[in-house]
Amino acid sequence: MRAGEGPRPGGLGRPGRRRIEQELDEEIRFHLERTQEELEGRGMSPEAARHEAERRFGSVRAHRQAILRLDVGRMRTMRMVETVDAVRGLLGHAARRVVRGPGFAAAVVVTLGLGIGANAVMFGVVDRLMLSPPQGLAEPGGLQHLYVERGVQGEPRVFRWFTHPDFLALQDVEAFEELGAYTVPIDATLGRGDDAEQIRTVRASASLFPALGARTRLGRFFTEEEDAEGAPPRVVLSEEFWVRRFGADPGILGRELDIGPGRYEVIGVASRGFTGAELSPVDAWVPMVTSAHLMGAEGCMASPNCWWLQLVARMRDGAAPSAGDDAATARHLALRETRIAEGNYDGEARVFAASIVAANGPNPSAEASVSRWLAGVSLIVLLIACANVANLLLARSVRLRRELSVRAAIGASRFRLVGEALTETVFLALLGAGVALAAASWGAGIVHDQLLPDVAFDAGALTPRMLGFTAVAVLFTVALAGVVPSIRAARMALNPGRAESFSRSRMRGVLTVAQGALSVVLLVGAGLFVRSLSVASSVDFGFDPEVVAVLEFEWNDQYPGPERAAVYRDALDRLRSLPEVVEGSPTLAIPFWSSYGYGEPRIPGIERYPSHPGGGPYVNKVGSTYLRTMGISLVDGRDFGPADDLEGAAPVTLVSEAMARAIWGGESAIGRCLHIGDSPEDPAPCTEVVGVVADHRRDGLVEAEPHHLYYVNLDHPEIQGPPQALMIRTRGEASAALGAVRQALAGVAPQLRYVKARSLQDLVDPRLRSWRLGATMFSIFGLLALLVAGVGLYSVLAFDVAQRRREIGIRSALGASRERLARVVIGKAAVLGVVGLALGLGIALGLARFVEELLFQTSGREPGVYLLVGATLGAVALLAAAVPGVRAMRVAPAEALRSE
Amino acid sequence: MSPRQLNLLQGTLDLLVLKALQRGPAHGYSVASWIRATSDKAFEIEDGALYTALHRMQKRGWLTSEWGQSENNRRARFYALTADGRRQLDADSATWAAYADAVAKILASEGGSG
Repeated sequence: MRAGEGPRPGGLGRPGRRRIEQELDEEIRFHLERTQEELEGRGMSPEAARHEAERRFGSVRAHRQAILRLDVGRMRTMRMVETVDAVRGLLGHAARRVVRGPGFAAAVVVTLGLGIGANAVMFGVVDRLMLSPPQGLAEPGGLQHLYVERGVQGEPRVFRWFTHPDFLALQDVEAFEELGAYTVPIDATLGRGDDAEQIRTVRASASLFPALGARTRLGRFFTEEEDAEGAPPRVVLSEEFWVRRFGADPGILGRELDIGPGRYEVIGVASRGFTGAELSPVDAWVPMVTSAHLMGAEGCMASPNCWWLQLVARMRDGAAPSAGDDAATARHLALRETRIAEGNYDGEARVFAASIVAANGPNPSAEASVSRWLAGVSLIVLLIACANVANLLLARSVRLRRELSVRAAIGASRFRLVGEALTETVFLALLGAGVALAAASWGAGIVHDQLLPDVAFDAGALTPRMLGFTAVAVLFTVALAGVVPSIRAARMALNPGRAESFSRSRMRGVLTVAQGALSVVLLVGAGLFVRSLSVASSVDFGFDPEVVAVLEFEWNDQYPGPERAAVYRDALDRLRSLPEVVEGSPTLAIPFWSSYGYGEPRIPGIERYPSHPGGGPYVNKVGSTYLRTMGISLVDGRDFGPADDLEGAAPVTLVSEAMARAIWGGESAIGRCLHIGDSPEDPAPCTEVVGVVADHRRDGLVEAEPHHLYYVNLDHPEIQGPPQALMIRTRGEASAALGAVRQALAGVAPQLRYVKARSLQDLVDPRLRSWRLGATMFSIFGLLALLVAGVGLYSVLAFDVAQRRREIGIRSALGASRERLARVVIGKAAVLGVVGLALGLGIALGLARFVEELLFQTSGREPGVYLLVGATLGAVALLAAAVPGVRAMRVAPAEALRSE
Repeated sequence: MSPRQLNLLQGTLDLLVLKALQRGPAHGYSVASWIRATSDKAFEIEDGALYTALHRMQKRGWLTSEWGQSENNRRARFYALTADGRRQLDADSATWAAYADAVAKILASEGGSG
């Protein structure tokens, strides 16, 4: 045998270091012996000849060392070149196969693309909502949101809200280097007249910006001195808003903007992406103190009852996250004891700090919880896609059996064949990743805009983290979908005679069943979320949000309190003359928008007001036409009448059914007294209960028990302040009437800057968002999964029929009826379908209780949903079986015999 | 080392080895013998250095090697010129001849400071 054969294909049998040494030693030995022979031939003694030969060679050790270094270096270079060649060869091979079978490649690429793309989108959402801190913060690890946990009827609940006195008291907690306070974004009017728009304005303490380590793009943030009583109002704009509204005008600093009733000087533009300590988009930040008029309740600043601020603390260097908890709790409790008599507030309260990253915080938003589920769901879609691709690859390896066997026979190694198959999978996965990124950037944009409009996503749909995630997903896919089929293909090629088609078809069956089962799980999820959304959208609020418009007036100094009543009256007169308008009424509070809890009224004969998990009782001050406008029904007694609207009218009240029942039990409430705003030093007169109204929602879709509400007439002496809005009942959808309403109001009060007109439905809609997100995404993923699984089942059956043509042909020649042949195919589909369905329904039932908390009054075991999903999967299985079944019937005996 | 024997200039050994292989594939021993015989033992080359040169040029791609049968029926590694090796031989020969010529001219001239 010649030892110097070149390296074999696949790079096996290349000379290793050991062989290089052996060959070198043999070469040197040959040389020395040959020299010695020659010298002996010239008459030297063997001993002398050997010495001479060694002398001529020089130091064997030194030379051998030098030569070995050279040879090993040469070997390494050769290996590298070989590897590069091999990879190039494999890629070329993969590309040729793709070109030869574009249908197969397209199926794999699209399946993977959608699977990976869905995951990239969901990862982006979860990353934003849960895993990443808001943008533009310095060292977010040192930032903590503050929460207060307090017992409500013995059950501990966690709140984010603090009062302004709390903020002041907590500022000097030792462990906090800086404490920032801010409100949720408030819609305020910017500009005047036609040019006016609503902007999202956050009232913030001056300390918020240093606490967050925020930087400006232009100018500066406001200082403590500017956030004080009597200071000239300042505003800082967000970068995004500065670009959108002012075209990134560098001369913006020093401009004065009309925001709400005030006039503010622009002093800065925040850095790109900065939205404060929250994820929702912000247009402008105004100082908390000088912007009190934006919330219409100036009393809130000093009130220990007004929970309107969120707090974020920058911890001192080295302080543990919980270092300030005890001190903060003590200050919070001290406030409560000295300033609050009592209430729905059990003595036990605990202030604690938790990470600004939502995943580590105590109560993630509903959207975040749903997203977490959806991310799991998208992973299932990817699993299904992987199963499908594995299935396709297995099927194809059977088709390529002959080619592979021939190549194995002429010396292609198993490694080469596995390598080829794997490279092809990698190649297809990379193409799939391309499709995925395209799908993700498109899908992410839609998800962000349509389903999560209240979250400030990074500019551009694809973040570097999403790209990294996609790369990981591709690796995962290749490992899952590519490895087993590749090895099997090679093994089959090397053992062509082995009866392997049985186990392979079993494996493909298992994959198909798994796909079916997983899609059933997703479809059940989709069904539950859709059902929950439809329940949530058809919730009976106790009033009619679709046909009620909310009008808010932008008041200013021209209209102090009493003058506003006249404007409302005038506006109502004009509106009532419109054909679109049925009725209207002024109101102090707006359901699902603003509300007032005014402490507990003293009630004769009642020792202590019965507490309610939702807090309250809540009070609203309304005109006599309010109930009719809203569509709230009267249960007992009388409604307010025109006489109750008049100045100096006797104080009267309407209470909600739940409140009446809680106080007076089964007895009638009519004629009873509420002493509102009563205190021992200053006893309040009786406000007579004249009617009882039906329970209705105040602030949420989920109100376990109806809230305690009561209404007082417009001129009630205790509940101060002018009404905030006009509610207008429209004929037909309120949103359609808004234009006419706005027009009718033009000129109603010349000094009025702006009237904000919205439908009440617009205020309710955001509460539906998490359910809508769940329903939409679950449905998309579920249908995607069903489609992929259906195609998977089809490919298994079609392939089966193609494989068994010969058998079918023989059977048909032996007289088997066509129906019988079709039944074989459909029988297989039925077995796969039923097993997959049963498995899937089982898994779904097991998981149901975990998803239930995300559903709106919908059981996770809703039988209708399960039945529908079962029927759908059955139909899809039948559809997938139909074509191969018909094909089996049409196999002509003779043709089948020839086909092999 | 006899005074008549010369030390090789750098790179010259490579040239000699390439030249030795110009006649056809040969194993290291026959390359060494040929150089020794042809130069009338003018150069004292360590055989080990010669093998180092062979392997170095193999790494550079000027030579290939293959195991075969020696004239007395033993296994030996035969070296052969590659196309690159042939080009190298031509280029080096020309350079060397020009160099030797120039040196010879200078030495043959009259005068000079030495």
